[in-house]
Amino acid sequence: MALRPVRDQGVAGRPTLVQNVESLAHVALIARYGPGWFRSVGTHDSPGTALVTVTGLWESPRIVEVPLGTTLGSALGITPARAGGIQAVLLGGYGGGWLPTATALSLPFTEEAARGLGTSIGAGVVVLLPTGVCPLVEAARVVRYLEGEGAGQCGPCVNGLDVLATQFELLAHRPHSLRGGTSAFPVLCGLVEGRGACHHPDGVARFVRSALDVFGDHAALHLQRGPCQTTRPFLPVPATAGAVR
Amino acid sequence: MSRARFRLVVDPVACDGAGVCAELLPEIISLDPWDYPIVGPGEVPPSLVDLARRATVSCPRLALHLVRLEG
Repeated sequence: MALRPVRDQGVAGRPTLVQNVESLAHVALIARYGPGWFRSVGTHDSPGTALVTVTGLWESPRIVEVPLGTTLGSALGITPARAGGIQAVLLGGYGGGWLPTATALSLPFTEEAARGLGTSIGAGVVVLLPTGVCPLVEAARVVRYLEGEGAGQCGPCVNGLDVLATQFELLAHRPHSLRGGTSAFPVLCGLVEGRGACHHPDGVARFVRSALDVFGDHAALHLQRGPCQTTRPFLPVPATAGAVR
Repeated sequence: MSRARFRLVVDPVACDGAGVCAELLPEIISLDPWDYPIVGPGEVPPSLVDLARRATVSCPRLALHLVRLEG
């Protein structure tokens, strides 16, 4: 029996409405100040603002309210000089996708624009990856974390994500033992995409595909010259029981 | 009234990779490296609908479903 959506069967078996606190805050403000006020910022299709969690710009992550449709670069006040210290940008959190810095900072911040680039604003998590850390080591930690976060319900996800995480760890730490270079990754992504009861494997595949896209040159360097010297971990990844590195 | 059209759908939670479906219906179903079924795209050709139905009832987990398409 397939799992039923919570809108049909949720808390105590009853139809359940799941609401986002940010949406409720918007509803309250619209009720108080009216739709015209709400639409005074944002674009026609994406009115209002979005709360964005930004990692990599300050000592610790901060939540910033971004008017939809403005570029991330101007909303966060990132100067060209500051942008030079950013290696790439992760949009939409760990189920989202990597973008080159210039692309991400000049993108009008809306869901439509993000989807046009194959990623998503998603939960509003933005990571600015600084230069000087190995992007493949960082991505490998995330892929292993995501693998461990699976619900363990569907065979292709349980098996596929483990192989995907292991292959990514090889690319990051022991690239010379990776037979066939990075050619196995698109195949492995294809073997998990759309084959779970939920979209967890699809999100992991999107993360992996975009990482190889944006860090392709870095992957080629690993394959030619070997791994980077280990750096201090940058991306926040909760500790898991079976953490490898 | 036109002939009914069908698609084969795997319930990924119920499926435990027994592989019976791919044995019975290799025309449509192949196995991934972990022995879980990969169903070919599109609808089931009319000539294979009876065999597809047999595959669904032969699945030890009843994880394969023949779904009638609307219209």
